[in-house]
Amino acid sequence: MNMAFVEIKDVVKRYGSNISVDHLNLSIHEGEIFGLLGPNGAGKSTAINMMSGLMKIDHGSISVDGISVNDRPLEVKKRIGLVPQDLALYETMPAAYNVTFFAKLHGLRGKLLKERVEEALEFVGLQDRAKEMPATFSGGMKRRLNIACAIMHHPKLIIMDEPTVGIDPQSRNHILESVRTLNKMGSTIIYTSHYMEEVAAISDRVAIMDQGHMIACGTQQELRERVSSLEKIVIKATQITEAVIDELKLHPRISRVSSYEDVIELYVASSQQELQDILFICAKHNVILQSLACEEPDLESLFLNLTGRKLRD
Amino acid sequence: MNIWIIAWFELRRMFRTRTVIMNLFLLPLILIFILGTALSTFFNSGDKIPDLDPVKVAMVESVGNRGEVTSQLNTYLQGPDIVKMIIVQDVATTEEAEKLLRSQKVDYVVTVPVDFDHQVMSGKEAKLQLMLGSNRTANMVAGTVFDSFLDEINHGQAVAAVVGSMGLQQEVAISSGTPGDTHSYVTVGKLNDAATSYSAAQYFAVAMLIMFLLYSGSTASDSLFSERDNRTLYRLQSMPISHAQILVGKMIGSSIAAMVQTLVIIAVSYLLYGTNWGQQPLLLAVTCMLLIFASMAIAAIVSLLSKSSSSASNFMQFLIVAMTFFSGGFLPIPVGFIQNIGEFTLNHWGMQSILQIMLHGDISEIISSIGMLAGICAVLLAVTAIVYRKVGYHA
Repeated sequence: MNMAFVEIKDVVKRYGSNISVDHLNLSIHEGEIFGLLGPNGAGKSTAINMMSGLMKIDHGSISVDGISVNDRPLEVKKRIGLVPQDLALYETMPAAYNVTFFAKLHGLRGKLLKERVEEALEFVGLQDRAKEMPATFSGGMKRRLNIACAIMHHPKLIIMDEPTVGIDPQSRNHILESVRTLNKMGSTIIYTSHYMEEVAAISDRVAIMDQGHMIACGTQQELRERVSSLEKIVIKATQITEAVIDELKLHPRISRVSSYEDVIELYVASSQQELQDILFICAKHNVILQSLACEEPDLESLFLNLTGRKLRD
Repeated sequence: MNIWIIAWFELRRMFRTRTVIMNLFLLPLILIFILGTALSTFFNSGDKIPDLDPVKVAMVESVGNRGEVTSQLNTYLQGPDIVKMIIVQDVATTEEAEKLLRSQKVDYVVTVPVDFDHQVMSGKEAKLQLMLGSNRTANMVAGTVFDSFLDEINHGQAVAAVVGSMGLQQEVAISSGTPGDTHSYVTVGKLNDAATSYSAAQYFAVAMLIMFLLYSGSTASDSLFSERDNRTLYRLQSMPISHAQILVGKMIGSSIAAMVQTLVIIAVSYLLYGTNWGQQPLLLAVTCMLLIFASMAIAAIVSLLSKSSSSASNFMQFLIVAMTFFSGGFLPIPVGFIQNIGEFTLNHWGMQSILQIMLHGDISEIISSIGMLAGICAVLLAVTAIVYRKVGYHA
């Protein structure tokens, strides 16, 4: 569990003058589910592409299972199952043939090939639709087939890049459950998402990326502890104005204030001590309170605390 | 091995698509039929020439003109090849011959002048008096026969003028040969076996075959872009296989489809339209293979350099249609500068090669056209390799 299966050292990737990944250092242990969290454009997909040997590294090095991605990309690819963010399927070829084609490219042949294809389709619950075209599938079924095409060769490392984008909650739960099962079967998983809840639900460790930088990394407990000294107050109200937000921000003992729709979120050292001041400011600006709650800080809170922005901004 | 997996997959994917099947097989055969039928008036020599009746010729020989040269003329007219073309009827006077011509009992009248032999033997130009009938074809046949004889005699005159009377006597002796010699000055050839004759169906079968072989490149280009657009290229490139293998595998798949297309077009056009593809299947196959390679190389270059599927497709369409037009693939164009431009097209050299194969042409000419195609292919493949190294095939 403690061996570094993926080692990323000082990796940089540039697109012209823009730096997409900026001196990234990361160790992912064998057998863990590693969550890579960050908003769109944070550099998660670029980091994954470099790990998978799909993109050249401008600076630094990456090794997977002790093999350098720079030097032996094809050897690394044999060990990886990549579930791309976009559906990558041949819509006019039967589901089983999609899986078979990619399995053959991984060197599977004969009886083993047939067994693995059936196993992969069964794993994602598509064994009864094996002969049907993906073009006739729902979004959730296509997502599951997308996963089947990446796991039939029993890869040591499965990289899932936002695998639940645009699907219904039921299919999302099915996929998250599949990730846990694959991990129990021995695969190391890298799971990227900008959905904090998903990453929090399945990950042993989490790295948070923003604008090409890794801004935090650790177990969920470790990350929570970084913001646990603060308490989060969530106020639901109407008639929230810029003026009230500005005055709250000026308060010396309120660490951070954010507002979206009819909600104000505040981070304070002690909610009991500051509550009276907060209510007074709201009343002064004629804000009509609907509810008020004190919450435990989460990964979202950490991201907000570190960047001043919400994950989905 | 992975190249063949990709090639086989490409082939299966193509043959599952109805529009691809239509474009590969049905469309070319329909076009061959339509163009071959509609434009057959542009081609007449390939159609079977009807057997012509011998031309009836009335010949008037003046009394007292029975010299050496007139004897040669009579011997010449009795030759086996000549009697198939003309039947000579001796007539006493020119007036009588004219009457026969007017009443269409003969097609042509020839009068041997009184001084014919004397004129020839004294080294002057040999001339016969000719009276043409109303049948243009008969006039042409008879005219050709007598002109041929006169040309030979006048050739002897020219020799005499240069080397003197000894030369003339030798020339006459050589020309006349032994008595009864039926040496003919006319060589009868078979136009359809080794000449410049082919039917409209043959011509357009070749033109359409070449055009659609080039279109197979366009299909390959679409396929390269569809992998990009459908994001399947991203997954393919995450497999333990090099990017070059993916490109080559896809090209091989499209090439095999084009080969199947070639076989179907040749077989069906032969069976349905009776198109004769000649007796050189190996050279025909080599020509088609070179055209396929060239087409795939163009497709790869255009696809690697184009930013979108539509721009690549439009460019390929323009290129193929332009090359087919300038090479006379839609209609033979008897305009010099267009024909000159046509010589820079793949279609031109492909057509030259295949038409020569159909006409049982000279092997060296066929090889020469194939050599040009091979040269173009080599250049295109080299350019493909350079472009691939510079640009690559990426998701």
